[in-house]
Amino acid sequence: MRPSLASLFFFLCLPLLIAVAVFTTHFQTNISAFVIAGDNAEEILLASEIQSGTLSRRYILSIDAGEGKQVSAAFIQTWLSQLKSISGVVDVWATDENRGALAALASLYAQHGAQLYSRTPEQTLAEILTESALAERAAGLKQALLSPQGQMIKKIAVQDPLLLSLNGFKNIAAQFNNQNNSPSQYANFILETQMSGMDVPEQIQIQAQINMTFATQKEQSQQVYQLDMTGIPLFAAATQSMMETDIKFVSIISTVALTLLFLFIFRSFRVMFWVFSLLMTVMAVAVIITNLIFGSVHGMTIAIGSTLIGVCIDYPIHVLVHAQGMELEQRLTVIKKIFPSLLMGALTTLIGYVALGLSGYPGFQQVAVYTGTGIIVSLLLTRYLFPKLMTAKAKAVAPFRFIAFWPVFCQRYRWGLISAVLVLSVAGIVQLDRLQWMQDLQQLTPELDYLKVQDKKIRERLVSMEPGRFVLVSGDSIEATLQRAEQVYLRLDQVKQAGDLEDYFGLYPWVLSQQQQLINQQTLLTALTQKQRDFWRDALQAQGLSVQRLGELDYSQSEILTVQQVLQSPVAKLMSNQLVLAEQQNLLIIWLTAHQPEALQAALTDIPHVHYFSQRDMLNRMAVDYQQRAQVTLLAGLALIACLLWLRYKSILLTLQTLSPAFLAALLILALWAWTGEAISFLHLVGFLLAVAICVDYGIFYQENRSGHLTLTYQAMAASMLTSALVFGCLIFAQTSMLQTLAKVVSCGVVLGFLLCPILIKPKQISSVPLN
Amino acid sequence: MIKKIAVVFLLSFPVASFAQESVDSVMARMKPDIAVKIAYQEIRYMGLFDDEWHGNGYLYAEIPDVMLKQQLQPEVEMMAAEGSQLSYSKPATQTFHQLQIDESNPMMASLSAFKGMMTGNLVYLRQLYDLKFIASEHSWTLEMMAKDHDEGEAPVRIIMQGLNEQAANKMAVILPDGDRSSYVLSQPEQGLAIKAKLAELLQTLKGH
Repeated sequence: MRPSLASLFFFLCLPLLIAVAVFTTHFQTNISAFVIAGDNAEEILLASEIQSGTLSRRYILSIDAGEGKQVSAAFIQTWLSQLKSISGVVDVWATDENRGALAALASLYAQHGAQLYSRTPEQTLAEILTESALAERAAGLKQALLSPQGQMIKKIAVQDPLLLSLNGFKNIAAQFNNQNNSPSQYANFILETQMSGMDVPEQIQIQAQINMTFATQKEQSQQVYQLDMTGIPLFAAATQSMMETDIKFVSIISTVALTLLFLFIFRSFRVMFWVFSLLMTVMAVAVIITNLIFGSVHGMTIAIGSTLIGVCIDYPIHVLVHAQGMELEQRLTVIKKIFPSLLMGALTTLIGYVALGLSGYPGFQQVAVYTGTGIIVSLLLTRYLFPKLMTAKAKAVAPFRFIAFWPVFCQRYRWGLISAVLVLSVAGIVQLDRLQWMQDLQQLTPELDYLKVQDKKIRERLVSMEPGRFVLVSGDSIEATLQRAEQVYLRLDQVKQAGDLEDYFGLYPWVLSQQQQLINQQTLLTALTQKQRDFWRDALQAQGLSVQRLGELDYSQSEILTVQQVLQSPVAKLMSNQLVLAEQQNLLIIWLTAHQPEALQAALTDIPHVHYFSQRDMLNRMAVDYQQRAQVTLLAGLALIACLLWLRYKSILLTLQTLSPAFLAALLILALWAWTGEAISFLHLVGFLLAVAICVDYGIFYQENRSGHLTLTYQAMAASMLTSALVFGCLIFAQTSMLQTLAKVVSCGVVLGFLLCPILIKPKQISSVPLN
Repeated sequence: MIKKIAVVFLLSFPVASFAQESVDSVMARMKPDIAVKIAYQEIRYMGLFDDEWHGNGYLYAEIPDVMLKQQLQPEVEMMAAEGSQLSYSKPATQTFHQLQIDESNPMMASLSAFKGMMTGNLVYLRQLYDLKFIASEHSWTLEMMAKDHDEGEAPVRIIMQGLNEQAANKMAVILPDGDRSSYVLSQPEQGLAIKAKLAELLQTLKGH
């Protein structure tokens, strides 16, 4: 194929390839999908619930009327009806809304009093069915009938005269009275949307409409209320908009900077066009392959993976520096000559990324595939296509002054410079003891702190449950899950008595297992003897209540209350954040208030399929796990790179020499972190790996110097280093601190590695004659 | 003579029509300048009770939106509606509740109606009830039928009565199942002392 045909074919196919990448790829921006993975089935199901289930589709809206003031009922009524009419909003209700639940007490629960009155029936009946207790109960019934809730009590009492169905609710009412610390200046609501919280464009529209309806209503009613919001959709929207801004901003700034740099180094738009076309092909193929393997490509993969440019650009740059301005035949000969060094560099980089993929972070498996594909494609294109894209018209590159000066200077003062590097390295090693690991993953996103503060503020206005800590009960059937939960309630009662748990919110009294319901009914029917029935009638008479209508205690007819019945009632709303039903597995969440985690863990340790779950602890445990795995795999990767180089050079000295700039650059970076006290995370390790991978390439290129012209080789390395430092350096302008971290680590690493090469490596030969 | 009687009769027509009560005139009269206190006696007729139940106490109200029912017999109880919030306290059993007023709850409906009447808030009453006003020569009757009620259930009905030129002196609340309460009301007392007393009672109620 003639060169012009090859390039014509390539430039025609490139837009098609980019179109395929853009239109067939499913892009994802959910940050939790990038960093969270469950270790077991329960955690995986829960993670998916957090990402797309009911919990993810809800907002908490909180209106603040100001100190000593109350939110007007008319305002709430009008605003709620406006919210309900927003497209995509399923329902909105007040957090203290109990009208539906109270109605369900009379319409649903009253007929199941015999089944639901207790979790410990013998003990409860022993307390209820004595003569004095029944007299008290009749007095209580009378008082309830005369109370503001008398109408509801009346409906229950005709079905369940002993009000057994309300027995379990006594505790829940006390719990809420104790827990509900909501001052009356706030009115809180839950808004549920149809689409997942991660469906950011739709959620952003809903958020805008919530704010708009509130502002309009506020203006019309001339109130000075303030609206606060929280919820997973809000975090998702903030993360995505931050990520989008970053990607746009960083892409623009790095493209401009790279263009200027290219023009400065190669002084040719034509050359820049060749290289950028190659890079676009590399990225398009990487996106397509990652999408094929994972089904989607995460925004963070593209953001981190785009730094791949810094690695992939090295190969065409080397070719350009060595072969620019040559005729095709000569070009191919030179490229063939330097290709083994490029291949070796690519292999060592690949090893680094495979190690990264094996570190366990779900997002990094994607990054590894993305960058791995990119490196292979870039290398192959550089070898087989790029020489045909180039023409002899472009000018040869003149070496910079510093490029000619620095290697010569290093050779002249080699031992002095080596001594200085050694002193610095020893000082660095001493500092390593002070190195700190980041233990809390939340520190990775300090830019979202304002949302976390708002979330905490709003949740404090509600019942003081610890949102990220709960007991997770699982089972393959809902009955098994409920039975297990009932065992857990008993344990939690003990922990509560011991003072290690303030309170907990399970599914009782709303739901009880069928097994427990049958036991309750049988125990009640056995315990209700004629004597107890007589006591009750006497008690009714003494209170002036109708014996004819309330004296017949017939609890034999009532049937079991099923979970499905409850889920079809208004009570479902109250339970939806506690029950996750799936085909293979069901989860039940027991919310906790203030507690001692160790005491809870100890109390639940021997019950199978029951876990004390702390979202934050899980994330931090994962962070530690990932860090440990990342350390092991990185060390293994480095050992493998060393072996590979030893196999190639068959000399330990040469191998160590080649690796030394990368290792010492890494050591100095680590020492700098230790000295400045910066807590390092898995992300620092990623940057560390990238810096090492790039610097090992420099070591190989400088060591092998296959073109035989050291100044040109070092010139190629300088161009690579500048592009890498620039591309990564641009990330410092990102809002996401994760990207800023990468910027600092890699930019410093490549500059250091580049400068250390002539000091630590003694190349084969030094020639001042250019190849062409 | 007949002619004179006829003239007097004809002349009395406009006078009589001027004296005719309307819902607006009744409500205007009920609306207190500062705060108001009415003594009441209540009799409840309930299907689940063998006998009728008797209670008495005071109703307090203050514009724009506060109402308190202080039951003195048979047991001390207090119930207050401030805005949309209902507070209930029964010191004997140390019971205290605070909840949002649900006007569809018949037991709360009477309290809402009292609040509307005693604060002269016709707009509020019209939001919740269909009003029917009947004026006769000596008295007036205001029938209120709740707009919000469950399907298949009769709406709550509240009937207020009073003598012309006077505030209400009787009220009946008829619940969907036929249970009902009748109130006999004294004529209202007004003034700053009542306002102070109401504030004191509200404070006691919130302090349980």
